[in-house]
Amino acid sequence: MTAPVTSLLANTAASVAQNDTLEANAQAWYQQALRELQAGTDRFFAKLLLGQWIAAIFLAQFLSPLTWAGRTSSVHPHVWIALFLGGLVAVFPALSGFRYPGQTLTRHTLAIAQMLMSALLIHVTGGRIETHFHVFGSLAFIAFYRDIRVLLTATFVVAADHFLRGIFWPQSVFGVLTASPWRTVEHAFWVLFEVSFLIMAIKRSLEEMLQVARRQITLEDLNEAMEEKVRARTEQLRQTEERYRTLFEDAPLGIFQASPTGEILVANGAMLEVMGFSSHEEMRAAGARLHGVPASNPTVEELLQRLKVKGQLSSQEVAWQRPDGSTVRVQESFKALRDCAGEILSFEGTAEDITQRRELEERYLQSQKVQAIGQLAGGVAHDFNNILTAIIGYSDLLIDKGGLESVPRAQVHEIKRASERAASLTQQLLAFSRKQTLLPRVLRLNTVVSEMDQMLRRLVGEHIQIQTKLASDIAAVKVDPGQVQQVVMNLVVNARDAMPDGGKLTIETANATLDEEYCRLHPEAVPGTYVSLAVSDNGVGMTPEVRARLFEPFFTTKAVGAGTGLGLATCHGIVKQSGGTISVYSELGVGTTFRAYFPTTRESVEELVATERSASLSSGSETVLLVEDEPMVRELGVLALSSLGYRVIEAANGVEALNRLEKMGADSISLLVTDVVMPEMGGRELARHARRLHPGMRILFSSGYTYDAIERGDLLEHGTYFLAKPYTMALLADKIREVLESPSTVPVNGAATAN
Amino acid sequence: MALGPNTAAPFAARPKVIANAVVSVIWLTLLFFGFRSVWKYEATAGATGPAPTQWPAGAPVSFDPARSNLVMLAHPKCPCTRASVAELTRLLTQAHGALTASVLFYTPTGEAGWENEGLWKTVAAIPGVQVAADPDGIWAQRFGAETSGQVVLFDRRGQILFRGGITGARGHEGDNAGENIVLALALGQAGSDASTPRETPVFGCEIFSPEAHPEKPSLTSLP
Repeated sequence: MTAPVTSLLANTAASVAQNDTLEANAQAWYQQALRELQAGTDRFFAKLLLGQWIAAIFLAQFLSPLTWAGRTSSVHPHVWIALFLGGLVAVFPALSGFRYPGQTLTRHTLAIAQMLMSALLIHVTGGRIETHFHVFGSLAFIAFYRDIRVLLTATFVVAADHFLRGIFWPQSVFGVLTASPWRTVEHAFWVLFEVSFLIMAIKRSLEEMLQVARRQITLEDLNEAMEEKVRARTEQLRQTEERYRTLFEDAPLGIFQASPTGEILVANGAMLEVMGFSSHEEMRAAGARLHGVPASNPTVEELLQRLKVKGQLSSQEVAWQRPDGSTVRVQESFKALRDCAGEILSFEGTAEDITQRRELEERYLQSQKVQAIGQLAGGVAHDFNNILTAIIGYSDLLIDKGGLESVPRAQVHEIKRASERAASLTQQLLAFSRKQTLLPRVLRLNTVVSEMDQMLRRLVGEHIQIQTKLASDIAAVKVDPGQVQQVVMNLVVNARDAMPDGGKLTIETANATLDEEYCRLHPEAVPGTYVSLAVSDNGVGMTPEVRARLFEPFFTTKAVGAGTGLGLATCHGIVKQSGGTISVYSELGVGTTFRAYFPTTRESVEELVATERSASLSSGSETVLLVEDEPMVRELGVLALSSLGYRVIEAANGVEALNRLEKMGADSISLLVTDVVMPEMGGRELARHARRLHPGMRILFSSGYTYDAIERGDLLEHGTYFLAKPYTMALLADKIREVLESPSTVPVNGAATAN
Repeated sequence: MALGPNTAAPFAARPKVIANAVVSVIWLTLLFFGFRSVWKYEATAGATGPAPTQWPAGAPVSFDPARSNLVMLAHPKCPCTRASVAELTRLLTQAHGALTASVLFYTPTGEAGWENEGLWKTVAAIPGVQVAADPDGIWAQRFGAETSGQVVLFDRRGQILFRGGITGARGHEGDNAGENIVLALALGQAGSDASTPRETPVFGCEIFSPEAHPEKPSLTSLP
């Protein structure tokens, strides 16, 4: 059997089963309707019988109140018959009709009583032919039951009346004395005639009732199916409405509907948030309108005019003022809903709070700016530092070399000082752009601040009082102490400049925890534990506009020549490069507080050992391989190291240096001093080859390049040292001596120093 | 119509069914005896007196020698006689003028309100029917009637043809033997058929008070 045929049979079977169910329900409905009809008819006959009984009494009293014998009279038997026999006929069936409506016995009892009531009335009215119509009327009434058996019972009563009278008084029925006995048959015929029609009517009526029942059940079935569909569709609609309502309410974008006059009628949660209301009630109470304030926004009238022309407005940026007075930058879009005549019914639109986005964009632009400057600084640092190395180095050689007159010597000192300022500027450029080389150490900020105390007091002058509040249980941080000193110094100088007439400057350290809420408000911050370093003054304070551009490089409020605009930018760069964050709180005329946060560490605190330089340059006799691609610096190095007693072998790049090493034997070289970035072979690769030839070889890197160039990879690993350009002869001599005197396997992190 | 719960009280229990059946049987039995009494009452004929063979001389209604003459003796206040009057009206209609009818109403001497009341007025309204008072029922006695509604039929010569009632039961209209006989005799359709009854029972009130007429003559056959 094929699948379609099976499916067809299954459908047919289901249809048959459904039809059977419908037919059963129709039959039940039909039976119930019939029962209710018959019960109603029972009650009807009960009342009718009692009414007929009373009528019979009145009729008897009216038609034959007295019976006479001459001049004497007495109550007519018809009155007693109507009263007592009528009561016997009516009361019991009436009670049954009232008490047991719908029961078969009740029906038959009432039918018998009704027919006997006909007989009684015929007797009471003297057998008037008109009264015989009561029989036919009663039969018709009994047909109300729509029960043929009841009709037959009634017919039987009529027949029994004639039959019994025929038995007991045959002359009154069959008429021994009757000339026309067929009249009785005629009576019976008309009764049977009516009964036959009534039976037909009952059958048809029952059939119609059954049809009505079938239609009703079919209708109810259809209605139920329809209701089920309606319920399902209603549920679908509810779910759809719920989805759209949730979409509307939970949308991250503010959605609203406004009247033509600009009054906001409907708004979702995001819209309320944008407008600065906590609830719809609050919004309605405030009578929120579009573009009420600030005055710089277009008015509703202007919006209407624009919408009439364009039909809709998209992504226009305005500023809204919230009830609390704050201003929020909003990107809004409008669409006008019009009626058939083109009149505007309402506005619909969206509004998005872009305040934070704009701030982030500004920060990003700032970051891009810093990065660009940093790239610029990094780009020129190498060459610039090489140049400065040469200038400073040769200045040192001239100064150290005897025989110069006092005037030229002073001028060489000025050259060197200018070069050092240029080097410092270069370092600051690298610092704010976070591209300088950090040499972090685990320490407590209290130590750094304490060591700077005297120097800071000299720096700010006597008209400013410095107060230091250092937390006793301060946690350790891992930072470059030199850079932290730079931060402190820059902040203190900034505070000093904010108090030209003197004031109070407070340096404070404390443990701090930045939570999620703080970080939400300060996107640059990361949750965690920190040590805060706060520098406060009670100076002139800052306006919001100044505060917004505070860490921008080259931004300064100081007079031309009084500041470079790099101090706070450098602080910002150092703190960020150290993994921390910096915030500022300032009130105009009250003062300013800078608070730098440095992340805490669980590592052990290292002792800060101050290196003391001897007055004379360190000298030696070891063999040093100097690798430098910049001839000016290389020649300076050869000259300086030779003058200090070292045997110097020079090479212009890594390949040449490697040839020298292989030719001379690695063991004959005590120290490899190499630039990091060189053509053909850089310092890093050269060091790797050198170590392969002589694993214990001491190596000193030197570079004018910065963080990006030298921090990648494992340059500063065990046994390597670093000397940043530009450097003085003294630094070079001390560093070489330090490296040569250190054990060959000493980790660099514990001993290397820069600058 | 809504399909509601079954409002018909079911037969609660078998004892109740039996009780209902018993009560019904008792009720039917009582009805049987009640209606039997009614039938018996209605089928019980009244008394008749000795009948005259000739039209009595001096009767208060005139004798019509051209037609058969029918005399009805009636009590004017008897409700049962209303059926006899109705049958008389029907009889006259069917006789098509072959009958001359008269009704003598009993009137007690010295009592007002008996003439021209009730049945008297009904009969007086029937065209061609003579109506006369029968003081103290003198003429009822002479015509041999003791029960209201009795008729006596005489031929053109004044010879009695029939006497009896023209209703099938007391106060009950409808076809009956008396009416049929009178009509046949009046129309000359009865012939000499011996089987044709010449007397039928009379159903109605007594014309005389029991104390006024203690001896009631029994019904006897006419010659």
